Amino acid sequence: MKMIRGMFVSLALILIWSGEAKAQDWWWGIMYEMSATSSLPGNSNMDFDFIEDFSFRGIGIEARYLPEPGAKYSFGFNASWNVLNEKSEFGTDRNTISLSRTDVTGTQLRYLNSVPLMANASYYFGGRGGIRPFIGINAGTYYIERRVDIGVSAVVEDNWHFGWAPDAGIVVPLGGPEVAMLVMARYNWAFSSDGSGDQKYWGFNIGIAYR
Amino acid sequence: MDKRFAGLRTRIGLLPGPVTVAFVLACGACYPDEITSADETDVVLTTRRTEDFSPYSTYAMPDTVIDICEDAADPECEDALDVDHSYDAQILSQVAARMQAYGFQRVPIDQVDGANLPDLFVLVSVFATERTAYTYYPWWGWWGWGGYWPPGWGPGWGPGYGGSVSVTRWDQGTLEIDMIDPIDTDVEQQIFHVQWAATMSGVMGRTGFDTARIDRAIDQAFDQSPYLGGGAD
Repeated sequence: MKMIRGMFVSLALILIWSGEAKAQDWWWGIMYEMSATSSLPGNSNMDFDFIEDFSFRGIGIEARYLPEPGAKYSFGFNASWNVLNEKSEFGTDRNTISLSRTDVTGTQLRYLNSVPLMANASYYFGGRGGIRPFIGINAGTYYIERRVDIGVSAVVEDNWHFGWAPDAGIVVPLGGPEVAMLVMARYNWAFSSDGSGDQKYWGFNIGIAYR
Repeated sequence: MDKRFAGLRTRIGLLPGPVTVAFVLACGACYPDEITSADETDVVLTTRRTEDFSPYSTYAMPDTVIDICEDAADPECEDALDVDHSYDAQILSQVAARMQAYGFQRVPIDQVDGANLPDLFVLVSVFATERTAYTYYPWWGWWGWGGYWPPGWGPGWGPGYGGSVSVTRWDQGTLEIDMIDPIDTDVEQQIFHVQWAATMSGVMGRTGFDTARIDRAIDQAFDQSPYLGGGAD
């Protein structure tokens, strides 16, 4: 509950703060998000590589406050929904689950639904009107549900996690200074929670931002 | 109108195309995969009391596959279905082949008596039953308004409690193999300890099970139990 309360307090502070900012200082973006776990280096969790397949399912929103046009930094928040899934056929290496004195084999459907709710700070290179590379840091909470279907049964585990996510990308102006394409790679790292190990996955996001 | 907001409206007008594409690509469902055939429901579960099977080298196996719910009057078998015994010989032959592959020597069952006990008894049983599940689906979901919805339900129906209910029935068959040590018993409790057990279950298709599914399940049960061959070579 503390985690949920902290999340709402953080969002409330951001909204209060955003209300004092001018509308034109906020960039809003909607993102199409792809994800990958152990298909790239650096991805693992404490249990095993839960899902290996690349995911093309994800969506998110980005809100960034720039104190002045062409500013070098921004603050804001983002929320996403990332769905990773994998189907492992009977007889493949990954479809036997070994527990204490018990082994279970069957076609498995594995799902990881992740909803990051993050505050963001970014630093931009380049100047106003041009392509602007950026690096950023995100911190907040992840709601992560992991589910395994095997046979006609399902095992579901869901938890709230604290986490952080460094990212890097570029902002590309699209025909004017107030519409831009946003492309970024983000490394999501949700810390262990309630017996569920660290959850890590890459995000590859592309979207349109405007102000 | 403020020129700035007028410009914003124009620019927002550019968004629906890519936004729509993003939503369509992204929002398939929380659970996008699905089971596409009955054999994908097959599950093989093995349990063991020990991993040291070196003391065991002989076994006896009755020439019968027992139908656990043969007695229809048994209250625990009220949802039981008739079992097709046409695969019994194949099942027993497959189990015997895998036991032999692990080095176990079979003792004919008619030669077994108190003075000539095998190290293990291997018992094979089956049962089939009708199952029912009540599943809550997101009303907007990937599954659409398929044939499994109750009559009269359709796209006009909305969620009353965050989801809609689907009632599903299926026939499920289970094959069980137990290895029992006749010496390792609990006299007070009057039980024989099962040293190894394999439970193979799956949804029966329109024609029940086929030989390929049965062979695959038995092979998988022994393949995932390599310790069985530890001391019997």
